[in-house]
Amino acid sequence: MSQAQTAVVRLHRALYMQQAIKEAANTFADFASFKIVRDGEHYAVSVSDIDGEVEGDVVAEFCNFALHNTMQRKKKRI
Amino acid sequence: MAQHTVESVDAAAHRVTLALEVGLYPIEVLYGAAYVFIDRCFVLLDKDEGKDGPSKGGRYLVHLRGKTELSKKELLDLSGEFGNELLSQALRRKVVKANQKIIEEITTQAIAGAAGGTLPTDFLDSSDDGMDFLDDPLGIAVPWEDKFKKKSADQP
Amino acid sequence: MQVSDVISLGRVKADFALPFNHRAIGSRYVVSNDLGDHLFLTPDELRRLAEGDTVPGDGLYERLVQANLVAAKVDVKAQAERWKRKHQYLFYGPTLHAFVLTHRCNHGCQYCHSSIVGMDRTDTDMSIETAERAVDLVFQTTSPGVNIEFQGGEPLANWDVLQHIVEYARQKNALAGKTLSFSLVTNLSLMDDDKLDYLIDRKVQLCTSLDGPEDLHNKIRIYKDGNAHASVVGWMKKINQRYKDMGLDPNLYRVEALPTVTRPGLTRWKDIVDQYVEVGCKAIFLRKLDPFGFAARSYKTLGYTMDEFLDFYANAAEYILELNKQGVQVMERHAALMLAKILTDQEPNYLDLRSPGGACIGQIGYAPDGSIYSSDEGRFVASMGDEMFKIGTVADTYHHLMTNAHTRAMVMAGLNDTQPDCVTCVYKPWCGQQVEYNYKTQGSLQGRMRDSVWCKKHKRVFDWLMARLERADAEEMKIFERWTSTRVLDHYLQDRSALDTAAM
Repeated sequence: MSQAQTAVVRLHRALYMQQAIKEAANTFADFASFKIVRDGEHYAVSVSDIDGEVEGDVVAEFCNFALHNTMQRKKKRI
Repeated sequence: MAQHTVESVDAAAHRVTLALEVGLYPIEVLYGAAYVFIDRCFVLLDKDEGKDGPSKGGRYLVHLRGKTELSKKELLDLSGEFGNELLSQALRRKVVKANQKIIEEITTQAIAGAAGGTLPTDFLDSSDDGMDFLDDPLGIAVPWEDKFKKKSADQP
Repeated sequence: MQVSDVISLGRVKADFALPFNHRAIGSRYVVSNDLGDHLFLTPDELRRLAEGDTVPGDGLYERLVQANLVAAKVDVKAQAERWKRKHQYLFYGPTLHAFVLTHRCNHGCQYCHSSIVGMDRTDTDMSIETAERAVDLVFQTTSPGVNIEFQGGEPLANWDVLQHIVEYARQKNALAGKTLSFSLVTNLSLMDDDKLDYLIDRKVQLCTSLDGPEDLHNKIRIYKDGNAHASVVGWMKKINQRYKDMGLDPNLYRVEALPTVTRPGLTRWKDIVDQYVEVGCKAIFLRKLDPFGFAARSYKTLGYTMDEFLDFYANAAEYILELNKQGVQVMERHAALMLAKILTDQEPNYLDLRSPGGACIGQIGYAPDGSIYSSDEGRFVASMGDEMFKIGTVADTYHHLMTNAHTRAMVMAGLNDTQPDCVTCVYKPWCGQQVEYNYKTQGSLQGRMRDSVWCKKHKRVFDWLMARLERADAEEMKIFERWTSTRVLDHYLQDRSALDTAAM
């Protein structure tokens, strides 16, 4: 599936942990570049250089992983 | 607002958005429900701050996008199922808390009976944290590398 | 009839009754406690129980005491012992050890939940080394009884390894001294006289699949090398005759068979039951299509709603009951298991009807490559590309398999006391869940019982039984009690001292 080469996703800081987002970005590093900045109540994640040859939606999968990692980290922290 | 509401349905994008009041359920319940859906949906959580600023309520927004094509009816069913999951998770937390002692005793006996030896002292620790939806340490997600292979890797 | 019309919360005498659940059955209520006692009460009797409005000598009081529903009259020590006896399965490990000997199969059944491959794929066979390591693990279970069940694919396709496991396990048991038995789940198409001689000599119990009359069976169970129905029925009759010739009671010793109900069979309940009676079966386990494997993929053509299945079930069960009244001894196995739990203090340890469920601590599944799963169903999920229920491999220690976090999570999730609906359900003391089914159908180990088809099925079958029990006459009660009588099939138990080695 071809997909856009760049995208920006906004992940709310009350719901996503920065380390979890970074971890997800590392997982997908071979398939896109990620830049994470704080933007008010959100983390703005700029996704660029998305590999057009990859099957599947890299950005959406990245978001799922960021959420999953957040849950895992919150569980460990408690 | 007594329960979640459907904020929008976009059949062309296979996406439905739900909204629920912050405080309606504990945050763990929201995570728990989201966790159940991430193997078949792309889930994005967001928060719509209340009029009086972040500390005064607001709404959680749950964006669900099907990993396969979904009709409008299927998207509405999906949102309904998410609502059911929220309620179920919330109730389950209460039941587990109310029956915690008997649950721990039966579980410990069952495992000790099967293992035939002593159990680690921290055996039940992670079940006390209210995050029992995560008591599936294998995770739902198939390793990303298995799921997404570069087309080029398939070439001889 | 709403329960709020019967019970006024303001008048409830909280310390009178032992905690109970209730459900309307016909014009009465069935009431149960966590000990597994039950009683049918009229609406007014239910009110009197809730309000403590009953005294010795009025008849109701004595019935309530008899059913352990009057808190002050419960012999706590005796009932604690009784609870422990009924939950013996909490005190030992897995009894059922399912060995998948190969993924090869010569049938192409439309609903098959295994990941079957062609008969030339010997690379999917379990090796001798893996088999021995798995048997070593089997004998570490704390359970005094062990059943090794051979499955596939078609397990007869890996005959040498099957024989090796039997001999190796018998040798190990000479020291272990467990109550050891073997069973083989086979389509019988690869059976021959030599294999049968060996299996009978080694007391391996035989189980097969029979979906009904020839047209129905062959439509679903595709066998390109022959007539699947003729093959299975022919062998069933031949094996049953062998047992008879050995002097074994034909009411107890025969090939066990299971039908899987598919859409074309929904209207054929009478034909299916008649077919089972015709081949000499004394029990039918009316099994719903699973949400696993091929069954999931072919669901659109073979599947049905739970309501459709339950209509089928009620028709078939009523017909079976009618046959019993005509003197034909045949039972529906699921109903019989439920009845045993309701009417007696027996615990049949049926893994789908206990709490916690059987995943990991009641059964284990061993795949040909040495992977170990929580159960048969766990490896079915794996065959769909999801290793959620893999708890280890044959290289792991038994202690690790039983105590790791995955096992613990499945045990806790499979406990009725953790479920919102189960804790208030009248059928709780006799019911159970399957975490693999919850996961496959609802996405989590816990599932949601309120909209679970698993729960719906169990509730409706319990409802059917309770409705029958509520109005059963003496003849029907006698039939139901016969269904609950347990007779140990001791012929299948291995003789611990007999270790004459068979030709390998």
